[in-house]
Amino acid sequence: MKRLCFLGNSHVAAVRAALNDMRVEGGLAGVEVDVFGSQRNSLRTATVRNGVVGSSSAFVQKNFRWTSGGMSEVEIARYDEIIILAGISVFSSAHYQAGTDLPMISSGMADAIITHHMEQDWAIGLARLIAEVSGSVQVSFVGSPLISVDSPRAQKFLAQYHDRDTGVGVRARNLRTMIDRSVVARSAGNFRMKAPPADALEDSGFFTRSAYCKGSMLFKPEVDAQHPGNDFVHMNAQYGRLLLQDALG
Amino acid sequence: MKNYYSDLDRRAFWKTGVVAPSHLTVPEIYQKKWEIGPDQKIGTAGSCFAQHIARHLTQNGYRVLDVEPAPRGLSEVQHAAFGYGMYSARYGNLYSARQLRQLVEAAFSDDPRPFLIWEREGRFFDAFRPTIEPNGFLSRDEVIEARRYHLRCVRRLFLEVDVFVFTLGLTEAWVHKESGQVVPLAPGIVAGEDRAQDYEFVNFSYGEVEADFRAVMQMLDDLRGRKRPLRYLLTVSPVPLTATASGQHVLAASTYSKSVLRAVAGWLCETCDNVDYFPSYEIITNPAARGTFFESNLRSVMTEGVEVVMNAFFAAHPPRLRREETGQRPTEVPANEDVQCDEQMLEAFGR
Repeated sequence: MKRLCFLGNSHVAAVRAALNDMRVEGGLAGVEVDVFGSQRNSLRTATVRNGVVGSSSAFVQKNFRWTSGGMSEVEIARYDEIIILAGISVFSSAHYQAGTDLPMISSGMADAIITHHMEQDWAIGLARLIAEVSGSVQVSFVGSPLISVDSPRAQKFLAQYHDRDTGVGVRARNLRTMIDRSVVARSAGNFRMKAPPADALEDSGFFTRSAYCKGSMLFKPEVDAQHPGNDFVHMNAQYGRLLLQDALG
Repeated sequence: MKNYYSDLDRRAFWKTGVVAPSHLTVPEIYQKKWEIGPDQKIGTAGSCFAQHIARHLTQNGYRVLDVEPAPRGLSEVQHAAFGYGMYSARYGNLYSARQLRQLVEAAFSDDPRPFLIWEREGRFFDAFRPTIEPNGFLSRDEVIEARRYHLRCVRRLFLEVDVFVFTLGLTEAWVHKESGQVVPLAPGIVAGEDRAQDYEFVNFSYGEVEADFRAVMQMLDDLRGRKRPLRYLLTVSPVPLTATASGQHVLAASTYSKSVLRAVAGWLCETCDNVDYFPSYEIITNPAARGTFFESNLRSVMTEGVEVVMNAFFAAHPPRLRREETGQRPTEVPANEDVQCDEQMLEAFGR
């Protein structure tokens, strides 16, 4: 029996939606999956004590119970892998862009940017704290999804990416290789940073394909509705399915 | 009895122009040649003192270009270490007019001369800006790629800019013997110790400095066309040499260097309508200040000195941003120690 835990903010909605579908299909035999989510940055109140992730916030506790089917805390040792779906991915182009341009990023600069982000991002901090609890539990930081190719920022980026004269395509490919290398080098013990599922990403590797964004569901217990069309940050059940498949390896 | 001096202003006489007024104001030391309009794009470059000018211009609402800004995720603390935010592009300190000339030539022509790369402990450095990557680049290819991107930005800068502020810093430089290209730092200080024999010392003469700067002006005139003439605001850095390789005493060498630069700046200002000279050198070295604008190392200019310089500048070119009107918080001007002066590394070699 493999035990997986997804812990995050509204982005866990995609996993919950996929789980429902996959359970119906019988695609989760021999796997136990729990989801713990709480909206936006409320997870910042989360603490790691005595082997559990909890929060003094009643709002977070309530959301944990809702999303996990009754548990208000994450018992870390219960899982083989805990996947964090909050905070900003180191694979987001936003870190490396200057305005709308993607400058030439050296490997030293990429390292400096990633180091700075790892120090600043609360969700990465939380992931590392969880990893310290038990060496036998793999903790994977995926972060929020990369924004959809339909977003204005992605559109501007990709227009330059495909325009050979700008050189952005070459720089972006080199950058992606550097990030991959840096992430591997930083994977120590049971903590690692992971890119979003490769199949979900468009060619540059910095944005999520449109198909995985359309029809994403709001993360509210009382509302069963989709995000508006101009929401480019939340992903749908198909994306959640890729995350699950990735975790099941 | 009337003579040629009878009707001159107070500023024309040492006693009333220098001795009587406070050295903190030096009234009318600068009379501008032309306005710098709020929409005019300003470019900055030069020796490290120019960083003060660039920052104060930005803080006071002038439209200072930064065509090579830092990536969003790079910590602000590291911007200067990676050569960001110092000038309008990431070229580091351009101490000599020859460096500026080389930069413009490299940006706008297929320069056949070799691209100089230094090495240290398996890392690679762009010899033309050896301090913009604190730990060097991973490979030669990475240096070349970074250089290509940089030159692309420099091209944009010189085509867009309306007023170019340049601070002349040094006449002494190190030349790559084979190609004739100069580098801002002697090989071996940051990297390139094994290439030291490829370089030789040069101390540029008045004629060479003037010719280099005129060559820059000519190239940019040709590129931009007559419809968009570029204006130049020249200053001379008051920061003395850290060390000299000329064989002279460093004080004499420093005086020579500054004299040449000051004379060239003066002559260009005298003979070209589109060149103005701003006397930051004179304000800091004013005998009335009795050296009090210098830090204890008698080289670095204290914040108070920079303020006096900039006050003189803004007296002629008033700030474009009235904080109380805009309600904006002013951009904080970093303290003196944030100014990046590569040649300070030479001090480590001092006995």
